[in-house]
Amino acid sequence: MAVRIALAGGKGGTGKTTLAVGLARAFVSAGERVSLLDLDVEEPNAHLFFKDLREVSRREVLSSVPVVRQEDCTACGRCRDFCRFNAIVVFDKAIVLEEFCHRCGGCVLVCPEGAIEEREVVIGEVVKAVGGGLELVSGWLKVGQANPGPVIREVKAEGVGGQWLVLDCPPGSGCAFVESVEGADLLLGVVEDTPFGAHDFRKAVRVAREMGIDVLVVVNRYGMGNGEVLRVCEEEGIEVLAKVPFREEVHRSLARGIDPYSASGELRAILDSLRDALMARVRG
Amino acid sequence: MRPKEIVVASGKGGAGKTLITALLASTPESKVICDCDVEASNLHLLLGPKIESSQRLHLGTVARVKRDVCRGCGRCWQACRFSAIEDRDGKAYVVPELCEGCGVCAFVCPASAIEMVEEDTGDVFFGRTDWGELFYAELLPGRGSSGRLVSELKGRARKRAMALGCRWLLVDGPPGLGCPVISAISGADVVVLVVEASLSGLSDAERLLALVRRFDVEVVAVANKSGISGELDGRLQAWLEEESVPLALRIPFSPDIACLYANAVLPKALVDISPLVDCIA
Repeated sequence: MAVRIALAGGKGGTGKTTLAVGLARAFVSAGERVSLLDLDVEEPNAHLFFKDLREVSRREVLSSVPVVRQEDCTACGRCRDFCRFNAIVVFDKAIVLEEFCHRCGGCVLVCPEGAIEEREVVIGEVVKAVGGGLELVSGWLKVGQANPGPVIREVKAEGVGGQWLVLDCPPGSGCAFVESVEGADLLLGVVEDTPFGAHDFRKAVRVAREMGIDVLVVVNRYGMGNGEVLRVCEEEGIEVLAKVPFREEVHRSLARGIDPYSASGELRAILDSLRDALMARVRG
Repeated sequence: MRPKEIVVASGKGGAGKTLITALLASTPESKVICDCDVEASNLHLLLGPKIESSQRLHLGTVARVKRDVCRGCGRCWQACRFSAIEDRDGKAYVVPELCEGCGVCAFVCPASAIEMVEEDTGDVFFGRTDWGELFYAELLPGRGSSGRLVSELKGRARKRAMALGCRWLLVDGPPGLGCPVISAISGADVVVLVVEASLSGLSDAERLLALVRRFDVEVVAVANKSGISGELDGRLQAWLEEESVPLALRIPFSPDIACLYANAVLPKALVDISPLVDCIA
């Protein structure tokens, strides 16, 4: 059974992608089979840290959009009244406002004339590639599409090749975050040592706990802020597995797309011990 | 006069949106400030508002199964597009984190065993800072209505800025490209595109600009954490020129700025924000 580790943290830019790519490579160096899933489908970046990626598949993610057959619509307004997302307005005929539509299919069900049908539109893409000894599956939400959920679900359905599934999750604590961490065996919080990181992480922890997911933490840019994140972890009873110090040279390397596992000896040693701690935990 | 609506956005998280918003906030321009990153709101930690009011909003609904009425026929879980209903011991069970509150399950249930109940969405806060009034919100963890919360929050801030006759409505945007970002950008006069001068930052900014171009809005750019590599800075500059986006300000990558900011201190002495202010005004 594969182990699913979700790297998430609430705040953006805390080092989730760095740690996800680094940890995935650390697993590879221990001879493990790894799938890295880039679930930040609004702004995917994991691929930027691989020099040798070879694409193996690419497919579109479709979603159904309701379309009103004008000649059959009597403008009765039941679809509008049913829609909880205010995605339908009715003038002389019903009109669907696509950017508000959540694709629930309710309007199709309630229309007494059968005048609404669904048409598939492309809302994103899932790209599978191999490189660096692992499988990378990235999701790309099409620009202008509002809802990343279906693309996230498709990436998760596609990225199942490894014994270890490393999930690079989107920032925030709302629906994209929930879709991403759903089904994970554990959430590895990547939290920066700043009051902002600590504040945003609290919310992510609450969601994870409601979903019954165990939480562990890596503190990133350790020593830069006031250590509030360590107090949060203590209060919440969360184990801190690693502390990654802020190093200017490493930041410069990562900005240029150098892979985190090769960026510095210190970072590699931290990633290896993080991997060992996770393996010990899971395999006993 | 209608206030100028300025939205600070970047695509990438941690690129410097809140830093730029806070620096703009600390200028003498009359303004109302609004933090639209409702999933991870941080601006108030920097601006230290005196909170005057807060309000719990209910912008969505969630399905609830009456277990004693449910016959376990399965029509609801077949109809649900969000995989939010499961068969547990032969009866329907709603996973609240996945429920979008559409009401389809309640509609298809032959036993009327599902009711739609109001859901708490989040809290909206209003406070005063030394530089202007601040609106921000905290989405309750895991809720699906962040876009609607952003619209509601910004609507309130906009109304207040009009009533006060402010020159600016200054908005700190959320990361990403999805529904909360679209809500934050819609109605803006100016988008301040904060581009982190890194490979990831550039890639994310390119996608965000493609989204911003769908709106009728002026764009000005800030390059943050620049000077790491001549090649990246060159690419950034060439791209902005090609897109005809003026580069109003360049902030170098500096551990001094990062360390001050990491302790919630605004690095006003280290960054001169006035070129950006001139470009907006």
